[in-house]
Amino acid sequence: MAEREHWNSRLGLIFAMAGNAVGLGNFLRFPVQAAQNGGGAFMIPYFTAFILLAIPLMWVEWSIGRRGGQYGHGSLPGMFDTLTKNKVAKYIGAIGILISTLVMIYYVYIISWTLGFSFFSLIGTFNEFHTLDSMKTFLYSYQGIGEGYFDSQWPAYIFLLITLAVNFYILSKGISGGIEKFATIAVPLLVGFGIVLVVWVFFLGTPNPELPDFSAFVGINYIWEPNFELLGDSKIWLAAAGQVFFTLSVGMGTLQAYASYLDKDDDIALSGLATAGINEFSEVVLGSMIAIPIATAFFGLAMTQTIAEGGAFDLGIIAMASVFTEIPFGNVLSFIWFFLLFIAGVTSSVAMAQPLISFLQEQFRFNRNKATVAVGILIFIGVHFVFLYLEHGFLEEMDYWAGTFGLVIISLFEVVLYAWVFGMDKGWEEINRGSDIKIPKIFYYIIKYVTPTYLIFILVSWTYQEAIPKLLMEKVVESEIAYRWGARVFMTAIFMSLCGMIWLAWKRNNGKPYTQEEIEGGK
Amino acid sequence: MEHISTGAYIFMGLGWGFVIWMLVSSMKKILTDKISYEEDD
Repeated sequence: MAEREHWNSRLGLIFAMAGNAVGLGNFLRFPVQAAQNGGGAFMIPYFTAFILLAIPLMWVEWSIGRRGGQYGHGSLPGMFDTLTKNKVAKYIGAIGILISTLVMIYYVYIISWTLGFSFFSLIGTFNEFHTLDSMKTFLYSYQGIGEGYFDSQWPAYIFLLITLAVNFYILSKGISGGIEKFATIAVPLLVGFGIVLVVWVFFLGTPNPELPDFSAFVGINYIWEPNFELLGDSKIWLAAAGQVFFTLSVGMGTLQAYASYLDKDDDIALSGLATAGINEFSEVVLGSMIAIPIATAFFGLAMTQTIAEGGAFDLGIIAMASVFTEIPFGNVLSFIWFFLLFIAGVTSSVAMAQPLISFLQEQFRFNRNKATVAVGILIFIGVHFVFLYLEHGFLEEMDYWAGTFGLVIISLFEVVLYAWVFGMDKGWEEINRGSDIKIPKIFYYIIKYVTPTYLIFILVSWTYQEAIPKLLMEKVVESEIAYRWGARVFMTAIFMSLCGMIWLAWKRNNGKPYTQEEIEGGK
Repeated sequence: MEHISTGAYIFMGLGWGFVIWMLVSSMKKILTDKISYEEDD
């Protein structure tokens, strides 16, 4: 009898999970957040949130996933349904598929920019654009939101198609043959690329001796210099919790999907920590040492702060590409930087498609190829809205509701479901089964009391500070309103479709997943 | 290097130290104990 897919090796799983977690945020979002929220002092709320929020949630998600896999479920609707008799749970689980799918729709477009810039680095397309303004014009013309070097969006479209092809080729090869094999090469490669750039930063030092303050070390100091006065401000605790939350990819349904391909007694505690270790190394060690120090060495600290306030892309794409036009071997270093971002992006984006692929396989008996093609068509159609309406806020609207707010909703629901409905005693036994380390008992209480409270605090704060103004489109310009409503209708339509499919699957067979043998028979 | 303050060095050391310790200790245990899930079977 055919078995459900499974990971081939433990290292492969760890690299795949780490690849899922390590993304653009490690290299672009983290240094900006750290520098703007207390520098070295930011590490206090950051690691507090890491221990009280991220690690417990990660263990809960691995555990829900491994348990769901034993019932043949690789996505949240089925997993939640096995944790409680409540009929609503599976529909809330639909949010888990919704979020990962929506984020993938716009994320593939973003990572296609990094592929495009990798290529342009190699052939020297933007070598003549030394200033920030000229590089911004170059990027905007590439994205089709301004006039400049590119006359049309065709180059961007071609790199988008290549990015989609790479993603779905990997996905079509399955868990061990595609995702695991790719991650086993990609994660060490991206860490290696990151180390090369960090070493270069140390050699870079102060490139112009006449401008001693234009130094990479000034940038490093900017990130790490502690400002304890800010610790009394709840804003930085919230910023730290947000960063930690995003960095481990919790709340997306992807960790659970990957963990569902584990065996019943496979360790999750130690493997989870190793995954978190690779992610944190990429973020705290590599992420803090590349973009801001390099930008500071060429633009000075004040300008770098201004660039960083403009957002992660201003820093990571415009400023970095501009710097690389100024230095010896700039083309090579530029390629390393943008290709590093591309690899980090793809290892995350393939994970985002997996929950929906599993759902189609297990509930609708699609074989791997058909499920991959079906999800590919959906992503292909969806990304066109992002591609065409980028300047009208379509991507931003999806990013906020799916990639920010939705993550907290699903995380809060799952931790309450796990610790309070399923029961923390059973949950604790589940997390510790097969464990290669002894998890301190204090995490029993952290998962039960502290993590849900932390999440409620984040949810209430974000709702009050951001979600309500966003919902009412308070700061949105008139011309964007129709497009943002379009994004909302699009997201709602996918959610309603998922709920309809869940209803059908449960009506047909009470959600009992098809076995691998039945799936391989295919439709 | 003179641009980096003592406070920055300390927090960078603590942050890096914690992360590298977590990575090395977990990977060391995994690499020395068990490699393959298939082998576990």
